Amino acid sequence: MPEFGNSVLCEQGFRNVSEEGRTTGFQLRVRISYYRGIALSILDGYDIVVDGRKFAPEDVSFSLDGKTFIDTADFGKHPEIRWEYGDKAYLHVKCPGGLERGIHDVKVTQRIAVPYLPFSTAFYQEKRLTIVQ
Amino acid sequence: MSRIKRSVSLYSLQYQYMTGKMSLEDIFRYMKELGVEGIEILPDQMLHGTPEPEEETYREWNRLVEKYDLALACDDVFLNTNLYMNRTLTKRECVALIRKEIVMAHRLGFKVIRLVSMVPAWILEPCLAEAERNDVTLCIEIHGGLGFGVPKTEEFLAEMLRLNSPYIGIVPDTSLFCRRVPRVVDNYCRTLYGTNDEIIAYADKTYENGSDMFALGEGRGLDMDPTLKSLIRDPKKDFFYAHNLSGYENRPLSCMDPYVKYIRHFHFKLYEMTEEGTENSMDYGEVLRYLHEHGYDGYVSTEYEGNRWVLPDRPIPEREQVEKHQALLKRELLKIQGQ
Repeated sequence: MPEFGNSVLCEQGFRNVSEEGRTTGFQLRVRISYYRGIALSILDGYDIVVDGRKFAPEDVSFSLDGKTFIDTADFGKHPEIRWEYGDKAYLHVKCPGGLERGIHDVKVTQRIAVPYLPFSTAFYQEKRLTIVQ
Repeated sequence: MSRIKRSVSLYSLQYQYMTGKMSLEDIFRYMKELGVEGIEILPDQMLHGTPEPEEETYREWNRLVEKYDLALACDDVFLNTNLYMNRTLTKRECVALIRKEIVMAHRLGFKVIRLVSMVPAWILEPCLAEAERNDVTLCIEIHGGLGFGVPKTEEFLAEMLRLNSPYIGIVPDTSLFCRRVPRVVDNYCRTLYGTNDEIIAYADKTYENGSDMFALGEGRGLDMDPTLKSLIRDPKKDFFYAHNLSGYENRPLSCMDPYVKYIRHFHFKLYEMTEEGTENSMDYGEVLRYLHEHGYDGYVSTEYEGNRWVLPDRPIPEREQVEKHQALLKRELLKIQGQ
């Protein structure tokens, strides 16, 4: 059962992304919903729902710098990459044609395997965010 | 004459820090202005590259400590035993990580490390020489729901008694002494998840009767008290509330008697400071009197955890809560020890 997390979604950075002139998807900026910096391998993944449409995990990738993206299924392969508390990462979601301009209802759930708890913890946040381009 | 001192865990101001409203330096300045004697930090939260930060991070830390002249009460350390896919860390890897944390604590200037609950007891013996060399005491956190009666914590306590070293101790948390369910938790779950009133009333009654949900669920593993379970009418609305309750224990202070000489630091958790200037679910006076009577002279540290129970899109009153809490501790300590 996901808990509400009040710091997952950032207000800015919600936009469509184009490659070679074609809109291929959209991006979101997210923070760690947990209270400290962690290795990426401790992340379990993301659920992304926009206007009720759920995106498949294999269509979601993650980046700390906005340049190098890794598949969210591969978080476990990156114990060497540290995501600092408060730093805004990028989520890229494959979505041919992108999202329409205007306001969208965005819900992001982040799953983390907290080492001192016996189960994976999920934090969600829902926000109305605007695509301007 | 022993004197209990006041500190603040910077965790209490984490959203100020995360949202950029306060830098680490702003927080140091604020602590000084509040007249706080010592500070506690989660290096994982506010110091990049933990447990092996860049030299520049140490230089900046030292500059702040010197400029604002704050004592360093406690360094909160975590152990990510699940760092690798498909396997937990080996003993050797865990020991190596804790040793790095000890060295980092020493370089930061801390003499007390709080190890998060569930850190295995077997790290102690192989880390002891490093702890002595760096003059850093390793303390397990005794937190509501994860403390007394929980096998891993009990193993740690037994190993602490066996090794009987001045470099091993405990950091209890006042969540062990909740006399009621924090009101902010009830309100949050009722409003956000629609938790039913009957389950909330049952929980409230349990604490009123001097028991708690950890005690009623003890020995049931991940399962819970049967009555509590039967009151989960809709898991989407009620499960989180029910499950979360085990973190609020309603123990007598005497549970600390066998370990009192090992207390090196104390988390004075708060969920909600009320208009009257008291905490809604705990009586700090009784805890402070107990500590004073037992000659404790370490820090009692503000740890604001009501931040988790603020409804979506409402401001988190971190500064106000920290200020009220420090004022309460100051007042209670004045009554007990005259300063």
